[in-house]
Amino acid sequence: MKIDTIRIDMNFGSKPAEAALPVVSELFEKSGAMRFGLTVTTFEGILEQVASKYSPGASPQQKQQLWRDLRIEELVLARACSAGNDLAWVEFLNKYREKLYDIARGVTKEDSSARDLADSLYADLYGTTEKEGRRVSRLNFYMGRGSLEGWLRTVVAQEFVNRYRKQKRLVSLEEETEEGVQFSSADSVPIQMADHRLGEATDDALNQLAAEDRLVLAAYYLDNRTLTEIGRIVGVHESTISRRLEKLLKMLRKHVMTGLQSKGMDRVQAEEALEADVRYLTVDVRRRLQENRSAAFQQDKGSD
Amino acid sequence: MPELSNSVRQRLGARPAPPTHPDADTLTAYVEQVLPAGERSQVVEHLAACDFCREIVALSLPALPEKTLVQTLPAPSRFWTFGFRWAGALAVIAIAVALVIERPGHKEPAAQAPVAKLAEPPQADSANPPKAADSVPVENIAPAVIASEASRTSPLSSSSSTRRPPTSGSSSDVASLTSNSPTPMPRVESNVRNEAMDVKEARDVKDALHSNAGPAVGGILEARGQPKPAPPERKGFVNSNLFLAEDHNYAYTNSYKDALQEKAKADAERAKKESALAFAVNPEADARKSFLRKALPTLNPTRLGPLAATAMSAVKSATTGSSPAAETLAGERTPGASSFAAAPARPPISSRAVASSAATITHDPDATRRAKTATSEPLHWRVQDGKLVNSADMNQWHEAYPQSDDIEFKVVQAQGHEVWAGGTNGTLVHSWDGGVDWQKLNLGDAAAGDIEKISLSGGDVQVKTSNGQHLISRDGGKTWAPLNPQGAKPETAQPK
Repeated sequence: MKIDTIRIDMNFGSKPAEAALPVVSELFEKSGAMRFGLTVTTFEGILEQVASKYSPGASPQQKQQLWRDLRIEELVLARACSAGNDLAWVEFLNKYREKLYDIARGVTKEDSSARDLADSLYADLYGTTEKEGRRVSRLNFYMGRGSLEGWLRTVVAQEFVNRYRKQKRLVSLEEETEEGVQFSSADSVPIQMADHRLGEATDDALNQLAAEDRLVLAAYYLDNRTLTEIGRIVGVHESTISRRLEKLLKMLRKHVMTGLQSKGMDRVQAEEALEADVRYLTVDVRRRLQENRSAAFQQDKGSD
Repeated sequence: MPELSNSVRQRLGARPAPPTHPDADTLTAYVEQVLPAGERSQVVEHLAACDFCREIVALSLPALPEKTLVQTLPAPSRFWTFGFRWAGALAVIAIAVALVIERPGHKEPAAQAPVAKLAEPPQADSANPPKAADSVPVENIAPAVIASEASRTSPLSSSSSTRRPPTSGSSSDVASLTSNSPTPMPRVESNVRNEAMDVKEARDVKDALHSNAGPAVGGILEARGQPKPAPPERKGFVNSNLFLAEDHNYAYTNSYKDALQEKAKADAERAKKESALAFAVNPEADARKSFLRKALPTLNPTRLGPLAATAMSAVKSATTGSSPAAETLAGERTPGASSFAAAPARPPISSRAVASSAATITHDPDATRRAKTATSEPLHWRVQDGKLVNSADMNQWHEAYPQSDDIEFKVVQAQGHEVWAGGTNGTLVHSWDGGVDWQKLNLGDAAAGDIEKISLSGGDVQVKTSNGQHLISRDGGKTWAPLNPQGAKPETAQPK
């Protein structure tokens, strides 16, 4: 990869160096930004950009706390790479070239697609597109809240999921027919649920759960994640997840039964309604899923 | 895990996602758990409703550390590590056991007579000079031991070459190291040697062998005017004790052993037939064959049928047969001969050992202790030719009481591990632990004559002397009193 040596003006603010806050001077020394030719003003501009994104309207103390929590060295490296600093790119390649391939291999589980994915991401990191005469590097979106390696892993995962969904969406009918995929006939008339009270009681029961409990339920029953994966997502041990799932199911059933009975059902009717087939639910799952996916995809692109 | 209700599952998946998604930085901070609590709850709320972000978070989880993976793998080479760790110790133990089993000092004397018959002196050494390879340097101990062990199992045709006596006086030759005279000597037939040596000389030979005084053996034989036997080629046996112990029995070649074993098998089959025959005509002795062997000498052929009488006479003739081997073995308890008795673990190579339970008596002071250690069953006891002997299997008999006291026993009575034996001059010995330890008792001055009978009844011990005295002890032999004193004061005997 040819390294561009164009120096990008990164003076986000107009504050002189001598007027910089002590915390900025301290973080500037700590970050090693001087070896990449970054000035204090440029460095402070980067910090202000981070604060404006994650803590808009925050007090100076809150901003300073946010800055202190940043991976300041990696943030400076990413911004220096984005600015086209040769030394920064050498350091970045030494540190993350192999890691990026390993990350892609871990995500795709296959060598050739991992190499393709990593190369594509390298191009984005370097910046192959220009905006207003400036090369746009994806490293410019790194804000230092997590590690640079973790950020690269997340970006690779995002790219992989986007590619996968786009590929699934664009697959031709002929190909799927050749693969033996059968298509059901279109639904003529939406099936109406016999009693709308079941959906309302279920929604009420789900709303009563904590967000993390709903995350655990969704990851286990919708995404088919393992207990270990869910434990790592939530940040607890897998045995805790197992116990929590059992407890949640009992609680959900109890809340739904209570909701149904409060809506005029007796116990037997509530139990029969709870065991009703999902085809009787007045929920258009396909539409909901498509809405969610498109919104997520567009929001992600928009943030970039 | 219990299944989620379909309706709940559907409603859970249909929950609307928030309009905005967290960026990569926020998701990375969430995965690395560095987000502030408030911001983390917002991300969790979003993840609960957004499968897209859940998938990204799941994919961006760092790989599990390799340390965890290594811990889950089974240890691959535990078994071999364990094996290598103990291989050396096992090899040493195996060699030690092999040396103990192959100790040549415990050859059965019965085997020497037929060996002597079959043994032939080696061919002239000048006509068949030893090869250079036969002279194994002392340093090559391990290969030589292997060669020596291999020669034991070699066929008859190769015995002459493997048992060739040494002919050179090379200092590296084991024979020259363990013998004063390196000159090859003609082999001496074992029966000649056994018959020629009297008891005292045989004891001297035995003492010399056990005291590691190698040259004394040659000296004794030379004093008898007999040529000193040339030691066999025990390549690599630098232990002079082992070598000298092997010396007296050098005539055992492989072919002779084979012949002996064949003869022993034939005799065993014959004895087995005779035992079965006697067993068939004696309905009272239908419990065990060992009991039959024990009871066989006491059977009176006149009380049995003619067929059993014939069988008994055949056994008796086999026991007191006129063959040189049987004659040599008839006196089976000469000290010199007894020292050459076969070890209990070795297979019997003598017909005498099979035909009669009184095969051999070994002088092993620890035999009783070992037998007691090996089995908790009481030993069998009897008096044979004035000696107190015991056996665990009615096959190998060991002298149970030290001969230094020079006691001639007359009677023995055992009850469990309590053993009482009496002999001449009112000698009474008692063992309370099955013959391991002994206590010599004195019946008192009034007791005279030999002890002819011992009776055990509960805790009482009664003895009868040749003078007609009946003495009883009710305290385990500490004090003795006349059984019917008729007003006489009981005499008291104290243990020595």
